[in-house]
Amino acid sequence: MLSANNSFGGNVTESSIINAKDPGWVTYAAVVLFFLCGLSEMLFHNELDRLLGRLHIFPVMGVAALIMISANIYLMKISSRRISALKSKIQEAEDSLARSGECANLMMDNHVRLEEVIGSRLNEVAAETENAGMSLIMEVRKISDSANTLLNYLNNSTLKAAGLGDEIGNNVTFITQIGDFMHGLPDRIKQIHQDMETIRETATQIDALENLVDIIKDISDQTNLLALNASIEAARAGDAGRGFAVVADEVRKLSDRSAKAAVMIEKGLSAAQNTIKCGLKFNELDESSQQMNEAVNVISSIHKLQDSYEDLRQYYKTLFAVVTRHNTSLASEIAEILGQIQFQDVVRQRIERIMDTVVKRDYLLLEFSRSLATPDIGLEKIPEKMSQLIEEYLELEACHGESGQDSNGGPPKLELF
Amino acid sequence: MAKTIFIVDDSATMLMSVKNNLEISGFTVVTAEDGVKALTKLKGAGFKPDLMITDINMPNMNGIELIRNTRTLPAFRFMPILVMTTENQQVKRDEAKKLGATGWLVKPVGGADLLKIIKQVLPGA
Repeated sequence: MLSANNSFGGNVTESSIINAKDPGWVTYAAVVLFFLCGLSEMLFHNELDRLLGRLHIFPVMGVAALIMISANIYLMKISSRRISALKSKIQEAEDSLARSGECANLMMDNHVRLEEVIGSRLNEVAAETENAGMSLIMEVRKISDSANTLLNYLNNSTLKAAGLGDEIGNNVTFITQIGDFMHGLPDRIKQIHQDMETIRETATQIDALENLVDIIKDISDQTNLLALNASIEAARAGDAGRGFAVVADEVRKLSDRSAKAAVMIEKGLSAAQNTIKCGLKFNELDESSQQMNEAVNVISSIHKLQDSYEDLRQYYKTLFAVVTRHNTSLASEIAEILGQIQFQDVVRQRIERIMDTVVKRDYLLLEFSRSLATPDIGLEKIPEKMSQLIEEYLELEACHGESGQDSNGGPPKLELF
Repeated sequence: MAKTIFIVDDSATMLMSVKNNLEISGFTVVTAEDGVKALTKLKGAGFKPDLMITDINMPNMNGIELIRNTRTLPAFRFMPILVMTTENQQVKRDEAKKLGATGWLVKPVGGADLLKIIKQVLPGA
């Protein structure tokens, strides 16, 4: 029997084609006519004789037999033609199948080439991600170094600021002592002012004594005049007035001494006034007082400056603490980024496993396509091999990465033995 | 004095990311690309790392063989060895543990997690 595998996997046979194309109606019609004739002879013998008169059943049956033979001959001829057509179609199917196999082989060759190109590109992609990862690591390292440099700078600045602050603090202490001293100066100046006032009053009193000197001078002049008059009167009285003349002379001498004393007092008072006036420069004292007040104001400014410096130092300290905290946070984030870059390695390995599996699949597909052209080389085993490849890949994936870990009851991600 | 950590991995990104992470944290880091190169360095004079971190799947000599060979060197019989790999098979973990590995870390390992584990393995680091 002729047979072939068609493209849909079905079995094509000669008889099935005959049955499919020719219902055999001619044979059926001849057989039915033969039986109808016999049946009519048996059942309606008389009636048929009556109806058909001289006709007899046997000639009818002979005609029927002839028809049957003719029909069978016709049928054999038709069958012969159809068998030829069938052979031709089977040949065509085989040719088509062979062409399909060749096409499939060609297709698979191209497919393998395509997979090789894709594999090559995937390797390039993996290499590019590796380069990108390396660049990222370098940049992150630079950021980290810059952050550390900034932190060190701030640390040194803080140390210097602390030293400077101590020095300024000491200076401020000295200045504060001076300020406290100068702060007491107004009281002392006030006391000096009071002393000055007393001296000024003394000078006024000395001025007043100048009148007394004039009075003494007048008294001396008048006494001298009286003594002179008394001497004249004593001379006029002669011997009687001689004792009076001695008194008058003594009075005159007393007058002279009084005048000299008055001059001496005047000189002394004048010298005292000059000394007081020259010694007490009231205006300068006023200016000094003003300067003292300004100095006190400067001390107040220094105190304000000290407060401002303390604020600045505190701000600096807070700033340093904030920067340090952020730098610590930055270092932690940098460490995490560096950890996450490990994904590149994980992805690279996954790509490698996928590519290995794809290559194995390609070999199976190639084998499959060749089996289409020559079915005897184990076509039936290929689906099983493909299924096995899937299982191997899934098993390999399960052995890597995060699948099957903690949450899924697998071994922990981080484990110390 | 800074502790020295020896990292063995065939992935350049892996080496560089871990190396930089640890250097930023104050460790001295030495690297090798496979088991053979690592073993050569370990046998070199004057090299005595405080900790070794190794991958498993590497060319020339894999991590399991590296651990086995390292433990035969008298100077490194008690050096902590951490395995850092994408593998998570219990069978391989058991094998590494049997050969003297200290711990098993599945990639990717976060920077903070890695430092935490290292401080557990190296007290005072």
